[in-house]
Amino acid sequence: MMASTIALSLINGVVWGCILSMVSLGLTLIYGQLNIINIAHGAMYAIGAVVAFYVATFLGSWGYSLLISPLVMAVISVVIYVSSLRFRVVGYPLSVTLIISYGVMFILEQLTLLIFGGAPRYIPNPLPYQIGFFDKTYPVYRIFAALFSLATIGALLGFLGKTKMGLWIRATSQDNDTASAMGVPVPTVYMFTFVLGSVLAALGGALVSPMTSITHHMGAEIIIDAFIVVIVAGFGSIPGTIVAALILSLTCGFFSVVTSPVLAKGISLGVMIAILYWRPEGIMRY
Amino acid sequence: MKGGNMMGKRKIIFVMVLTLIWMHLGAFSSEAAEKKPIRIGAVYDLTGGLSVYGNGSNMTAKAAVERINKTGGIAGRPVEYIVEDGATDAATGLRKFRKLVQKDECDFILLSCNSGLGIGAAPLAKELDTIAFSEGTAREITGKKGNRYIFRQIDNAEMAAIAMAQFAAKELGKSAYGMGADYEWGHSVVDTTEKVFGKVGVKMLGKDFSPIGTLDFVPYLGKVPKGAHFIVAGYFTADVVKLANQAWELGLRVPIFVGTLQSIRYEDLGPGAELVWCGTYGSRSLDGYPSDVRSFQKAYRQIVGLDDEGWDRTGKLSAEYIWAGWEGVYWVKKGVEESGWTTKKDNLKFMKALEGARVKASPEFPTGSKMMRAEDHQVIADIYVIKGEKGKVVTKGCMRGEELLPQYPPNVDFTKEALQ
Amino acid sequence: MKYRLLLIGIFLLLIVVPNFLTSFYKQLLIEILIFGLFSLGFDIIFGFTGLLNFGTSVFFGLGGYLALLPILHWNVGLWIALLITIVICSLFSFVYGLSISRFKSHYFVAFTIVVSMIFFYIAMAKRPLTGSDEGLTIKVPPLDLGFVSLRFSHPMVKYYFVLGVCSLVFFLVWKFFHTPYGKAIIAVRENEERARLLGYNTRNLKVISFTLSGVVSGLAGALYVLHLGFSSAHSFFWLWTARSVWWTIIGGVGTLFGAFVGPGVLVFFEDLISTWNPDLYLIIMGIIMILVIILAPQGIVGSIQTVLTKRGK
Repeated sequence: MMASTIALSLINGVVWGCILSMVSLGLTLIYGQLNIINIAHGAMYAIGAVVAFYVATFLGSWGYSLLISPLVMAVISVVIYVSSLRFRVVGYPLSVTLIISYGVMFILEQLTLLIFGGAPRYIPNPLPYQIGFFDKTYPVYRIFAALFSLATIGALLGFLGKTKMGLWIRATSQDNDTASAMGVPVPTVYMFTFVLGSVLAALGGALVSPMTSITHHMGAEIIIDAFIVVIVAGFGSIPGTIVAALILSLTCGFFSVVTSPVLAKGISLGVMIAILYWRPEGIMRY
Repeated sequence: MKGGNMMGKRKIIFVMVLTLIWMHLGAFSSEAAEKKPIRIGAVYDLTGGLSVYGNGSNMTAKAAVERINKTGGIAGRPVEYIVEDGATDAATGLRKFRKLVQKDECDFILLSCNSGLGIGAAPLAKELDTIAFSEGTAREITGKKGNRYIFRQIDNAEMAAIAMAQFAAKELGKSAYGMGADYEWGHSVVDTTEKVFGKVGVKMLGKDFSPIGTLDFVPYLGKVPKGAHFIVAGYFTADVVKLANQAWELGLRVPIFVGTLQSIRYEDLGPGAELVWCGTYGSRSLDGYPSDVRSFQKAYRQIVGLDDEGWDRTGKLSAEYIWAGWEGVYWVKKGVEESGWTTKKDNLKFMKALEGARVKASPEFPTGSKMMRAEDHQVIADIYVIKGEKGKVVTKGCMRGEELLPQYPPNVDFTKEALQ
Repeated sequence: MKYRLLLIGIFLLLIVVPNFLTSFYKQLLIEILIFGLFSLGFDIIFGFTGLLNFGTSVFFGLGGYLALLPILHWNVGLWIALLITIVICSLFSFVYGLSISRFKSHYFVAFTIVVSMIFFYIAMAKRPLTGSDEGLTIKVPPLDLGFVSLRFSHPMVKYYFVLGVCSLVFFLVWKFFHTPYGKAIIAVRENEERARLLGYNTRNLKVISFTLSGVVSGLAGALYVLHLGFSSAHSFFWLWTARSVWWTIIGGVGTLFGAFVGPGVLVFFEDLISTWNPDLYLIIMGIIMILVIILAPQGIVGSIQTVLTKRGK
């Protein structure tokens, strides 16, 4: 029984690790490119879930939210960027965009509360099948969510590596002056990166929505872990983000079974700190 | 003549002094006090995690004030109601408490269900010499951390757990597993339940507490032993939805007794809805109330805008908890009218009037008869057991206040407390 | 010179004005001063040393409990409680600073976040010790001045005490940054590599700064507990960190005085607007914050300073 419980926990850790890495990637992209700590990332995640709720309820099928949540978020993030961030992205200290981000978080969260209400809601599982697992069962949907996250990350890598915009993004993040001199439309790249990062958060929210409850402040649940992952991962490293997210989730999951869950949380955070000690530049050096 | 003028001046001064004395004797001011409105201030969580409670209580309290003003006010005085947002943050709530008293000159304060606020409010209420009614669930608000200024117009979490434990022992089985969020409330639900279980022969096979903000209960649910007949879960709102769904998905089919179902719909509990039970402070559905209470409850629901199922017009607020606003206002009315309270100088009279007071099921107290216990200022009211069943949240049982009373003795005696 | 006069002027104003304020605004001012002190701690480490401590709530909560618990369990007096806070906060911040000083900017941030989370969880879980989410209350001991004992809850006593502590700390910190040590710390902020090459022991400087920042914020936490007579595990919650961050930044990073102006403006307006419209005030606050920082990217005090120096030329 113990073995199956542990195995269950590990699989669960992998699932959450994949989803967390996708959300964290959005945060990394925005920080790496724009030097913006996107405090509103959690609120964007929540909006993704809330939109998924409305899609599932009114269009009858949750699946469309995988398209609609990112789209809605793209529009919202363009509005946010154009109305505030773009004025202070270049040449201004971190503190400025940090405040803008806080302000955006307030606005987004409160608007979500006003529209969605304060009560937690639920979306029926779009894939209500279970996989037999020793003496227990495990929801198939979660495996789908993990795979989808990985696929998205893969698509992102492909995008960055193979497309023109991807090239521009990489060039700008390495050296924006040179990139600009070479004809890269840097302001557009900035906006695009911000949108891309936000969309990843919303996608995470939409993916998670059938697994958990949907509330207007569910962003708080994931934002801290995402922050930690981003930093332990090594600033801007995509493989590092996945590894860090997996380590965090797996450690927490494993120890929750073996000891008390609270201690497990502490241990997983401790592991993160230990990694930082051992490798202050982050897990992967590239 | 000089002498004559002096006499005249002295007379004038004499009359002036007499007038001053007369004014201070209150002949003039008490008349003004009678027509002066009574201000009830409320610190409710309109935003943040507890917003479904705060907005609900605000709605019913406002309705109560409106009804009172239509029917003559309190002791003939009109009532003003001012609400401030506690934002689910005790520090903010305490500042608003101060503002309502010091800036808006409120005479009585209603406090939200935020336990931190309820506890922090005790010293503040004493400092500001203002009586407050707390809807918080922590036991010690009307216990060791409270004082004579604080009253609670609704049962607390420990009382709910006692009722829930007895019901579960009778109906659900002889062995349980405890889970909860690792903070005071989560623990109090599980620990209190365990204590009661000990007395009625139910075995707690184990307990596990998850850190606040846990997203995923699958690892903890995986630990539930096979022999558990039901689960006691000290979890709140959003976590309850997660728990029910995740339990179902893991293949668990045992009943889960949770701490609250406020504003949670049957549909939101997913396929796990049939598993969920809850010991709560009021019946969500109208027909869950006993027949002697039902007509009053129906009238109350019509006034505040709740339907027979227990939902408000926006469909966002459910009935179980939010009557505390309405009845809180009526406790104020009762205290003022029975003690002859006119200003805060009469606070002690007000307290004495409520200490030990009993009310019957009525339009003012539509959730049933109850008693305001003297020693700890805790209301002793009925606890309802509700459950998800066939598409609705139905009421399965009720532990009446009289049954609860002997099982919940007070641990303080405020009647011995001097005011300043 | 002019700046010094301005500060003295404001100090005098703060001594006199409360006598004309109503009780509520006196108390609001007390809270603003305490929040200002808290933000001052953040300004020291972020504004003057260039390190983003995203876990200042640790100091705030710890300072609070270091004052509360001795009073609750051992009935100590006010001064002893504050002394305990200062001593233990110094030790704690020192050790904490030592462990963290080897990290560069981004990783420093992660560490502070993780540490503050750990403290929050511990505070929530250790219920008998901290009261968890319910909290603990105390009867605040009187202010014992030797020749007279004053009731601390009296608004004027509380106010002048808090004003005194905040002014003293502000003055000491201000002085500190004019000393060679302080200036060296600023040099670290500007360019750590260069500072090290110039021979400064940057690690020691960072530890000193961190310790100072911790004590100042911890002291604010203690004052807040004395003000409310209450604390709970929520004082360790990241929301307090966030507050210190936006208060300082809106007030003006690296200006010291901005740490007080930030909460002064934001707390005052939040209170006003939340009464006016409980549903929309968070949105309005968000918009205000965005507008202020876009129009005054150096914060209120920072931007005023810039404008004045420009004009001076």
